Amino acid sequence: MKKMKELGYSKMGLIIGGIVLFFLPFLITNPYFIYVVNLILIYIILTLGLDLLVGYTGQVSLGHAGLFGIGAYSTALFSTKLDYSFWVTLPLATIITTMIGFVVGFIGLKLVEEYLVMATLAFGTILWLVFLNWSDLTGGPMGVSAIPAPPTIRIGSILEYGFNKYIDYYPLFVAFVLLSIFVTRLIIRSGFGRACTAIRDDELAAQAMGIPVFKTKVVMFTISSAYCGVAGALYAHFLHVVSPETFAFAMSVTILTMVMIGGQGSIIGAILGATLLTVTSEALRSTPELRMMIYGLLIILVMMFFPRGIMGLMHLFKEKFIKNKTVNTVVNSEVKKEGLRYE
Amino acid sequence: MKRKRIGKLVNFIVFFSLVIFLVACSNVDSKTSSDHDDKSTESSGDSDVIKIGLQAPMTGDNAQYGEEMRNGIELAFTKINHDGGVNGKKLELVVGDDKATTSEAVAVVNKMINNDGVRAIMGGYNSSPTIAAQEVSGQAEVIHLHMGASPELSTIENDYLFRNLLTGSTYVPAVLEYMAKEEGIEKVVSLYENTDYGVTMHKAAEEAAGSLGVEFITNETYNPGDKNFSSQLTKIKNLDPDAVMIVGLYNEVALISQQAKQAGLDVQFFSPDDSMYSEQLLLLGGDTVEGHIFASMLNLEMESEEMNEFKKLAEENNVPVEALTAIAYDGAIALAKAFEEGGDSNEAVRDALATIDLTGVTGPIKFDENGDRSYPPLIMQVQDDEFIVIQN
Repeated sequence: MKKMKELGYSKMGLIIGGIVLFFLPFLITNPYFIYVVNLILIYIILTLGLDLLVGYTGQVSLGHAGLFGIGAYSTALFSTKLDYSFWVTLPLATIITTMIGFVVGFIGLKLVEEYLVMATLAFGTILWLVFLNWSDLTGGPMGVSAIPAPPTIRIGSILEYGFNKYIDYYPLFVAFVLLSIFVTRLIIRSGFGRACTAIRDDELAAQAMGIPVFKTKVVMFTISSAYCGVAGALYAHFLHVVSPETFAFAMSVTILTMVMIGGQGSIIGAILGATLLTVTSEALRSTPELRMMIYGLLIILVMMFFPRGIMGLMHLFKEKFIKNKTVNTVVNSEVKKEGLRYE
Repeated sequence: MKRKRIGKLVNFIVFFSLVIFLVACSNVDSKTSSDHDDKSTESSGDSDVIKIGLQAPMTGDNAQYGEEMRNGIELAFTKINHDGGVNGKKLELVVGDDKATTSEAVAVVNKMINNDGVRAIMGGYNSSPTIAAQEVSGQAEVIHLHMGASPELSTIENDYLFRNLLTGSTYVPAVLEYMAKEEGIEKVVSLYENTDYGVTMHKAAEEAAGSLGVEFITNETYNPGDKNFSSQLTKIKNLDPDAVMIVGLYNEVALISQQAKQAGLDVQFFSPDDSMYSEQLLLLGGDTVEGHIFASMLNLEMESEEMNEFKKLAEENNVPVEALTAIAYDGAIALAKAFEEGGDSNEAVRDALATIDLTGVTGPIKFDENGDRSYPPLIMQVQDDEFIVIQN
């Protein structure tokens, strides 16, 4: 017990999380649940990507569904029209999405706050309309179907791993989620990440400190769109079909809500937000007419009562817990921080 | 400080009661998803229940179609369960909303097969979602009895895929032949939905047109859910065609007819299939849809034993008599019959369905080697707010 305490709760959580991740495919045999878990993993990548922008840099984007769509459509087209393998389409899609993300960021980020939101919203809608109306390339409302699964992995004659069932995708997606988490941690702990946090907390002050605000924002937007590209590529190869309605405005809102509900500026928050929203949305499938209503109501209530999301709530409890324990000692954590209180 | 804490506590309680409410909700619903005939469902024990899934648009622009299909299937299930079920087992309907989109269709069919354990899927009204979803059901070897019109669905290699409709390649030549011989049209413009359904129906029409001396001078497309067709109609008006073929659903057919009248485009409109055979068309279109010609697989005014029984049943259960309701009803009856013969093995049920020979409300229920129903369709026209058969 003492040893556990020394280890710290966060590390314990990490170990438990790792064990759960590893044993999940053995515990769940229902293919539908595995399908939902895989969807959650894709959403986690998306949420992490948007969180870099919203949570760490303080720039809200409502156009990420469009970038997600670019990733999905470019993979779909490369693999169906040119017969490229998954291992080629994935980096290609990521590069294309990143490039488009850079252009959008470069134009859009000259604007601030609500103007930026409007600009990204418009951009997302434009992309959606392109998917919908460029029928010769994107298949219009039909989308692109028959996207092949990733090719079978063969290492000599020892290992052969094909992607036939949903469960086969799980290790691949977990690997990408872990990679995304790793990269996210690297970014936010770097000097560049600190600069972003500074911009989020006070743009003017950050500028005064010599941080190149516009450049930093554009770079972050570009990195954020790379996440969307990866998620889109995985999504296309997983569902084998992409169609425009997936990448409409509602998807942008969903991703943003995942960030908000989980708690901005927190990796665990992104994971929780993506999980909670996907599970709720799937659980409500049995009441199709009420589904969107209950879903919407839930989001409104959570936003009303816990504007900082689950991680904000957890932080509040933790703070109280510490305060109660160390009531007589000098409390150093009373230093009031502006912006978000947890990092 | 204290008040603040209480406030937080209240928030917490609200949140958790909401979560519990939601969980409770979803549990209750998954148990009684066959809503209307609650009395007959003893539920849980899967040995005495056969679950059938419905994949159809229940929300959104096409919700009406899903509703009509559900009505039809539920009518059939009520009747069968009342008469003792299928080999003593009750039929239970699991409703899945595909929102007429491909990604939702894949998700919902997946859920119904793997989570709810349905033995067969009915529906898929729209062709594109059905084409995507049949991949899931085909892999799981679950029967998929759909209602999409696209001829492309016949070419898919899936032994478990059946079509509870005539295929587009039966509808299209029939209506074109009528238009060429009786109405004497030569120059036609086609205005079709930019989906698998619209595109393939249009292709089938172009193929059939050659031998009939009909020429498609141009074609215009629109996206499902579009509300404004003025640019397409203006172009069409300038070409001065003999007739306009609309491949679409009743929402769009009604809107197009209205806007055509406003634009001063006064030509004969026709459609290749019966997706607009619904009271809704008359309600939405009013007198602008007067004279609209289409091919239909059934006639609701037909005097037959099956039709009368269906109408009586519909009246008893307070269900509006619609074409799609009748078609879905027929499909459910055929499926129940196949389950009666095939029993517990999906393969045996599939074989039973493939060789089925029944007389239904719509006509003979028989599936050809592609899994399609095929018999010559009727030609119908809207006359004085009614659907009249103009050629048998």
